[in-house]
Amino acid sequence: MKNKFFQLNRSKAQHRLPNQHKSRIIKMKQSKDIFDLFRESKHKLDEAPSPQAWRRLEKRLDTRRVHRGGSIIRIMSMAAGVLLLIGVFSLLPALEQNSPEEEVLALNNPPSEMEDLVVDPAESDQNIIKVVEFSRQYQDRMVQPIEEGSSAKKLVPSNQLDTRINNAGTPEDTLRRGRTEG
Amino acid sequence: MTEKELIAACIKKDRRAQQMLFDQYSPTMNGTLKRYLKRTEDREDVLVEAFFKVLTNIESFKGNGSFEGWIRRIVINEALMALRKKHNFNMTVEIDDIDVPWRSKVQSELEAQDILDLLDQLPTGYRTIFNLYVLEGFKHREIAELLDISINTSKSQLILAKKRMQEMLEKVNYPGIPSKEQSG
Repeated sequence: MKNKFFQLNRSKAQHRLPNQHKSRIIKMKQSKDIFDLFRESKHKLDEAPSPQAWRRLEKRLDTRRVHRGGSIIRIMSMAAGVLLLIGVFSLLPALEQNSPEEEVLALNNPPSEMEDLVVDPAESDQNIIKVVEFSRQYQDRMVQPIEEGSSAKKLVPSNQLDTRINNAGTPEDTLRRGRTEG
Repeated sequence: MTEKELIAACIKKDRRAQQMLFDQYSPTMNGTLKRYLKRTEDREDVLVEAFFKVLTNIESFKGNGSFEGWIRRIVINEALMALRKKHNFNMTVEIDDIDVPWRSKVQSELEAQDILDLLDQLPTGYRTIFNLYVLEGFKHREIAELLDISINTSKSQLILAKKRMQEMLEKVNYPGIPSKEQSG
């Protein structure tokens, strides 16, 4: 299209130009422009690439497919992991809060282990020392409620033991009596 | 299979359609690349990369303009990227007068090997701009953008390329190219 346009202009120009230029233009018309020469011949270079080229391309396309599939699985697993973490963190405060029933049970059941009381004899009253001593022995007895002894040993129910303690006065007296009876 | 059907099948990643597309367009694109890149290995690398981009971005072709033109643009961009790695287009190099080894007596038109021989004699910058302007039909403004050079550099390199081509054709007495004595 462009060439036709220039040819048309050139033919118009021929009529206008003096004779000395006409011969030169005719020469140019006969000769091909170097650009046209290449334009006309450019498809002569067309040639199929080696079969290796398609194999390489196919390999690349396969790799991309695997990567894309892999990446989707990876993204989905990451998303699932994040959702799991969010779920766990949102449930944590609810798990830490006890139900009302559990709170009542906790109040009724004091801790099974009792703290050992340490008394400094120099600073404490004698009665306090006795009470502490008694509580320690009471704990020991709770661990081993029935002491294995001789066949003549008399077993005393714990409620009677309490009344006897009350009647006897001091806990030491009761314990002493128990040992002598055993 | 029509062009539209081929494109639709390639969008669906149909491997047979992808191969058909490659078989259909790769000879022309390989011919185009021959004008830009001398080494066969470089051409194959660029061809594979370009068609990989074509096939993985085929859904972005909206049907405005020719499909072959769209592929050619991708191929040329890839070729220019490969050339830019090794060549600075801003450096205008004047080639010395050399004796051009001409393979065959050209008559009315250039043979394929003659075109390649002729292009091979040109420095990379001349050859690239000659290709883009003369054979691909780009404007100097577009060439300047593509190669990151000024419009004047593009114009001057084209003039020098044409001059060099003319001289080489004169040396082999290409019919139709007026000699210096005749034209002067």
